[in-house]
Amino acid sequence: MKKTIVIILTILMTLTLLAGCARNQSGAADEIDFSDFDAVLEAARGTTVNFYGWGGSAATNAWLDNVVGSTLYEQYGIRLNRVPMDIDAILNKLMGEMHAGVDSGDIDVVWINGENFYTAKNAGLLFGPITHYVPNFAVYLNPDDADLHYDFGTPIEGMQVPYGRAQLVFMGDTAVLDSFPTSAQELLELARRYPGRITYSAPPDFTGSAFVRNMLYEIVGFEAIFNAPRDEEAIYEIIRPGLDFLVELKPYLWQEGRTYPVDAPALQQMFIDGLVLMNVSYSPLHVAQMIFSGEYPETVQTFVFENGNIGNTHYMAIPYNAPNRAGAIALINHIISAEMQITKYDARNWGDLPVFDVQRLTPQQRELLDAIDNGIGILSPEVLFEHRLPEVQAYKIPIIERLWVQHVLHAG
Amino acid sequence: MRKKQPIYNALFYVFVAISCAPLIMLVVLTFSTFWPYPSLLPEVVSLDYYAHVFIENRQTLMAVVTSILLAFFVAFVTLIIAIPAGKAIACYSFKGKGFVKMLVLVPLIVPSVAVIMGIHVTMIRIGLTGTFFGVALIQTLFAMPYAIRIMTNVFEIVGKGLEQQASVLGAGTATIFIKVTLPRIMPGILSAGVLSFTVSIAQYITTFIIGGGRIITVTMLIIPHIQSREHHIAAVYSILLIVSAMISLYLTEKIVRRYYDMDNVVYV
Repeated sequence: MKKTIVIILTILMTLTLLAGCARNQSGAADEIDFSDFDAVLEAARGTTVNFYGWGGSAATNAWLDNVVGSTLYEQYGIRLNRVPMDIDAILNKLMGEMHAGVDSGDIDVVWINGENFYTAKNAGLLFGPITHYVPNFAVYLNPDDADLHYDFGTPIEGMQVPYGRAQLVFMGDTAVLDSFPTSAQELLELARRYPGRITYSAPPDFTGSAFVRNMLYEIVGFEAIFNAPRDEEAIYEIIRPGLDFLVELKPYLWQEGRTYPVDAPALQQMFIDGLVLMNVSYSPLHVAQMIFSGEYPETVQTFVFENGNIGNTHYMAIPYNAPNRAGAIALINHIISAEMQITKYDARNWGDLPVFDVQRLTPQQRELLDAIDNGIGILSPEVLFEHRLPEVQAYKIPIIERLWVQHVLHAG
Repeated sequence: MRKKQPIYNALFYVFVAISCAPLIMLVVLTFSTFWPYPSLLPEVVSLDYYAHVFIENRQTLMAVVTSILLAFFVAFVTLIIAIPAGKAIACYSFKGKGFVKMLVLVPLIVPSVAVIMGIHVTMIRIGLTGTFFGVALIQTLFAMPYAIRIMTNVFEIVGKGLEQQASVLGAGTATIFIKVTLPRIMPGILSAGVLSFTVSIAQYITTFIIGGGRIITVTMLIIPHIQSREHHIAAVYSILLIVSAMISLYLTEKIVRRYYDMDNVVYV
């Protein structure tokens, strides 16, 4: 028995070693003119493209494997291999490969954004600019869209292509409130009318932190914070009126603002129990999902501020040592096509906001988008895009959180 | 004994219940689609999570095969190294023996990420990253301390008296090893093998970094779901992993016991 095991394993070992050698040889890809998309598709046909990214959502994984993967194969003859790997491990891997001088790695497309994009771009881990190689980028995306130019304040410069979006939304029960606040001032008035019935989760909770920034945007404006120098004192001076507003709001909050719910799920539970009038989520389809599962009554409705709510975007990039660049470009182009973005918006698949400009869709595509029934109580992608504000530089977020603790939580 | 002391009997079952509770919870989790806070039992029960793991995710089967093969291979390589190493440490005296004994444990003392990051670059240069063999090698490193420790203790108990006896009676080295040593250390080999197998199954960061996403094990599929609070899916994968590992170990033990007569060492 042992003998057979040994024999099987020896064969396996040899095979994997051989596979390793074969891989290194195919790494010397012949020169392709990436700006000729037909040539790219020709080169990519019959290959496998390796998509590396966070694999923690069953819905997302299934959409990539079964919707994107199968259509990519049907339309272009390219196989999609999704590898679930955290972005930290991906960056470690790429840095190790760069250090060891590996010209042909394993990763063709990486799912990335924010701070990690900043790190990867500055360390030279990315291939690009790539946006001009991707035809659908010019077809469906709006060049004036801020998400195409800055990712958490980092200039994108064509090094990554938008994949999907999220946005901060508020929600309340129309059976309890006649109208929802459309600005920070109106929120303050609402809190005055219903003392103790409004609160937000305490930063550094992700959602609570975004809520605080959204209030600061309301009072001092996004540009002021975005253009602030990289200095805690200077940032404090700029956002001070916003912090003063939060202090003004504080006595009308739940527990008079002495304590806050620890995270978004805690606030959500208070909302379900009717303790507070308003809930906050970074997932725009949250209300529909909760009504569907029966946890919210059907009268709950999503709303945003007139001046807009914070949104962030996630992207795809190609590593410097991607073995199959042609396949990577073809995959990225396929994912940002209207058809794929519309299936991605379908909550039964994933429920992620599309990256296209709705005005650029053909009437047929528009019909497809309108035909998607994601449930009730939510806002359309169009309304969300019209009320969308970018994120500030990632390094400013912990500074703002600290200032909130100092000047709002510990105020008076 | 137990009949005479019912209190021990009761204690025994309490401990069994305590050890089994998390496993039962794991099984319940895999079926409960909707389980809001105050309800004692899940309100909606379905096979959705199983459908995801076994039908929607095409990586599952390959990951199970990889996990099990890798674990067997790691256990095998580890034993090849641990048996002579254990014997040397237990039966022979040589210079710096205490130092070597301590050195064996180093991979467990130094944080594993630090060990791997250093080895990673070297492994890239010699082309071992992304290969089955490379991942097996790095996992062997973390399984070895346990196996050597066990084999050392086994050889300390067994000693080399009987081997010398056989040698005096004219047996060759190979005959001595197969007929005398092996049967006596077999329980130790099984324990060390099982432990190495388990160490390999549970490896996450090592498989990640050295495997580079080309070698995907079940553990690599579980962790992202735990991190994103998709406990139900993680529970299905966990059960799958536990069951396939148990079956593999059970079969191995069956086969080994056909050749060597000894007490059950794996499941008691």
